[in-house]
Amino acid sequence: MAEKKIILPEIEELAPEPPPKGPVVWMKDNLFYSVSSTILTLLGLLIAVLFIRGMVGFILADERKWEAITTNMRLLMVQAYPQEASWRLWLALGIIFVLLGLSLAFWHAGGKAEPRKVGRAVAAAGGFVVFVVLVAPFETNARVFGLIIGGVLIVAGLGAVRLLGERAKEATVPVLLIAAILAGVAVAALWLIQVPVPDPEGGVGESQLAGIATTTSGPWTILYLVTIASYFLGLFLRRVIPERAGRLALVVLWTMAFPIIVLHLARGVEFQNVGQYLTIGVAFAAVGSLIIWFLADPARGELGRGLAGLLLVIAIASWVVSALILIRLMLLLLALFALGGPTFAGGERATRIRYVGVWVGAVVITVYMMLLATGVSLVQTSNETVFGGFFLTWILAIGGIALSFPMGVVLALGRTSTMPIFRLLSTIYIELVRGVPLITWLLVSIVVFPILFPLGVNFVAPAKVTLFIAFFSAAYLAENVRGGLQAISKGQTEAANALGMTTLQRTVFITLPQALRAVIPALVGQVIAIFKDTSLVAIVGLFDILKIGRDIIPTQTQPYNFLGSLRESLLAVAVFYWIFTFIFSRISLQLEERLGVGKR
Amino acid sequence: MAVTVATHERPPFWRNATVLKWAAQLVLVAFLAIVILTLRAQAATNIEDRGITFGTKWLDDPPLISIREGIDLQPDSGARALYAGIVNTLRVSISGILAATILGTIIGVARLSHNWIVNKIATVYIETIRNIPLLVQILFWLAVIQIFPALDEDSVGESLFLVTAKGVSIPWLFPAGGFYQWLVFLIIGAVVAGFVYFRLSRLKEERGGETYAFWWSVVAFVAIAVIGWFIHPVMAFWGPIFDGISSFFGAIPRVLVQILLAAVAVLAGTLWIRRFLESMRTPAGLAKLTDDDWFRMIFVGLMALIGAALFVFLPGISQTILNMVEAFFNFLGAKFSGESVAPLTYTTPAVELRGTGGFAQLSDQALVITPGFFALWVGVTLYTAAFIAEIVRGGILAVNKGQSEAGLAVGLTRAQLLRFVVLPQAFRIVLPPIGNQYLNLFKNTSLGIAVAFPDIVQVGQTIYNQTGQTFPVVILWMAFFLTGSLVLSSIVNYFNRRLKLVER
Repeated sequence: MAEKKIILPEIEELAPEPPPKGPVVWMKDNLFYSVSSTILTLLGLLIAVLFIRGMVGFILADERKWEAITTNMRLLMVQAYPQEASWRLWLALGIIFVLLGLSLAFWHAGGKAEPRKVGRAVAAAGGFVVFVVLVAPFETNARVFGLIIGGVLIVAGLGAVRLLGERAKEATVPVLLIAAILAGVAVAALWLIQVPVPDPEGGVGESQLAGIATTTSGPWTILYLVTIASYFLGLFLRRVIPERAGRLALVVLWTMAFPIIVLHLARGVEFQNVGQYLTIGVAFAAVGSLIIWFLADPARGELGRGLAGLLLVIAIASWVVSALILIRLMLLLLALFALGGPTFAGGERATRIRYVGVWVGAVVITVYMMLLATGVSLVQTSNETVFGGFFLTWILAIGGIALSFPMGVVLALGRTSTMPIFRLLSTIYIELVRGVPLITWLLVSIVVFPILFPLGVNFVAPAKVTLFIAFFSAAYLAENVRGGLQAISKGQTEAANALGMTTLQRTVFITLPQALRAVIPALVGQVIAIFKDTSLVAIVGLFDILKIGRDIIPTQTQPYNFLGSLRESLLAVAVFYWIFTFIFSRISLQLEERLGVGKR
Repeated sequence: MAVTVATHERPPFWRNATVLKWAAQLVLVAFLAIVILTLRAQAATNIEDRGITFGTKWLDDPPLISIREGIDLQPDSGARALYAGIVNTLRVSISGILAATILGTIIGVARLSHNWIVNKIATVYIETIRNIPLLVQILFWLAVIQIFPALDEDSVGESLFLVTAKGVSIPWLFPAGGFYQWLVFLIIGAVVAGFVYFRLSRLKEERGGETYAFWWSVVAFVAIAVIGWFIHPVMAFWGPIFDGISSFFGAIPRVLVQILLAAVAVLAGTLWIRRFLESMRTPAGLAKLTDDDWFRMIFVGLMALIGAALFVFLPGISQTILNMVEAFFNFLGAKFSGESVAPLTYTTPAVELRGTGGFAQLSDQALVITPGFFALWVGVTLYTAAFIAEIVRGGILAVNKGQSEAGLAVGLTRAQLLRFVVLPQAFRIVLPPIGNQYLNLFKNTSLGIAVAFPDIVQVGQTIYNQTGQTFPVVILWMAFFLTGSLVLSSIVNYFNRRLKLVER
């Protein structure tokens, strides 16, 4: 007997909206619903009031030397980077913000927010301001000012909700617009907010009021406008060129942005051995193209692989005999391209032409990188390198992650491989690295690593540390990627095998893309962890933002006396880290929702 | 058009997948061997240039360091200094793990509270602590302790609690002369209490009715402990027994231990291979072994043989083990005197003038929590608690909603529901990730180096700065942290297995 299907109406559509609850009902439901909850509420309120009072009292106390932070903002951000070269860093930021604006447009970033929620959030912020102003030990003037701001926010937020009324249900506000407004407020604050700055002519302890960012408010405003402009440029470009091609180009640009900014722009490189390197590059591009074209031809068959294997042997041998590093790298790259030929370029003529094009691009990038690595920095500082402060923190984090990514993927593949020696070596590496704390690896990078190289070879400290952060992060990344690889259903590999794919084809085209997609949130988590972990370099003597905040600012006596400002500077450093990790963690949550991880 | 016909001929070796795979693996091994040998040769020349030879002599030589806190402030050998550092690491790790678990669970539950303000406080705590680097927090706590009063000549004297810029001092009970004899009573008491608890719980299940198993077992333990406090000298007879065990181990010839250990290694390898082969056996006979299986067996066998060879050709290992066992029982034997000395001594905090300059210091008679320990402990505890709280929250949310509804339906209060239904089930889910957090906490104690807390890393760094023995110190660090991680994860795995849901 066939079951009769009863079609129920969709409940959400028919259910009437619950009547709005008054604040009294809300408090009864959420704060005072039982005796124990009332006690907890009062206890929580006490903790909150005491904490806010203590915190604000600490911040406003007379003996706090917050001018130690405002005066030293430059030091915290870029340390000893010379002022006359600072246009280089602004230009670098400009590149990043232009790319950001374009990417936001091309990836359709930002959803729609309900205006009612936005209005409530604004009102809640106002309520919080009022609460803080009332409980914290402010002066009367500041208290009145705070109450006015809080009141305005509450009225604006609730008023907007009330005004929109019924229309608020359908209307939406783009999230990007809200972000742009908030950023605009921040930029305006740079012009408007006045802070006490010690007077160079005045005596110790005397200070005068000045803008919070006298030298940087101009550049930041320009950057703000540039970002908005490039977003609209991106919207325009999205209609002109195919979206896929635009995204690909942006990914390439993002990837190249880091070496270009850090190694080229920030250092202002004077290239060495240009002629020699260019000759080698051109030779490899030409001869290599011919070799790859020849070997990737399906007609070669067995011969192609055999010769590619021979190339690999030659490449490895070149590392034993003395040769230019560039030639060694090129040979290795050529062998890998030749080995990959049948997988990636076997078949149509067009694919082969594209493959040779990629080879030429790889040669250009390699030569450029080697020129950068061997070049001499034109920007001179008193330090070993030009990098310091928060800038160094970012370089270590991005460099570490970027280098660790390929290593992590290879290790994950090794650990899930069916080949026992690969699996054994990967497992040993991963467990060894993960079992030992990062600080010991950093100490190894400073004291043991240099012993392994001839006396002439001298890595600068940031390079050594970045390398070891990457080694460390790779082990954790590998475990994340392994999780993704193991989550792929067996049917996928079986289907690939049934289609006659080789192991390499199956890995590159079927399993890896799926695995990486599944672990994107975990990878962002890894980025956060590494960003925080870079603070450890302060222990091994690099001048990152923490080292400056802890060891330099609180010991300054000339021209201003900032002795005893340790807690202030540590709090400021904490705030800088917090802002960015918090943003990252929100991005991670968004990605998780967007990709629907764990929802299937 | 040519039609290819499938034949059963073996493919030529250059197309044979097995051969190709092994070739690729061997090429990698060869490459790594070349790299390692090159770097080793380079390292050897560099070390020679610097006039250092790496060895183990520094372990016996007296180091020129004094350790700020711990079991040995003036160690007489490098090994002893490292040992003191290890004890300090373990002190912070274990106390931190306990505190972080409790705090993290409370905050995790608070994060899910229906009470708006409790919920928000927990959220703010987690979002603040998680997003600031641990090192910044530790340094901040170190800076916070500086606001407490400094010590000078005027502050000399005793008091019940001392909170100063040089650390916190609280009253404490320290083991004294009769402690080990009393400890025997405590162990007996624990065994008896366990027995009582077990019996009474059984009774409760069989006959029904409350038997107060927990309270009776506490009574039993306390009674035996109190009786033991007064009659502990009767345990003095253990002294000669331990001395006897010690001299027994002293008399064992080293060769015997070497043979024994080598035999154990070989036996373990053989047993593993046998078990592996057993697991491969199917009703239809032995399953076909892949080359991967062969590799596993050969690898394990090889490892067992290498282990056995190490025990045979390096007599130092066996000798050290023998010496350690002998010294341990010797130490125990010396602790059983038979005199009636109080097992514990009560000490109160004091400030005294110490050192050459007569500086005011906290007396180390009472328990002193140094600024370094305070900062590190508070830092790692609060930091790990934030992560544990998120895990606990996830675990509670993962418990089937029907369980809570059923609990409420049978009339449990919210507290009872949490205690008897939700938390036990959540515990099972959260154990593996919390174990990971324990490992992180254990490794994060190495940040003590930034606040001059003498853990193994800080002591090791001081030693290699003096002696130049970087490489051996690094090896010891790795051995210690890997062993610690292994022990911790085996403990977590053990409980994980015990708690696993046994499905029908």
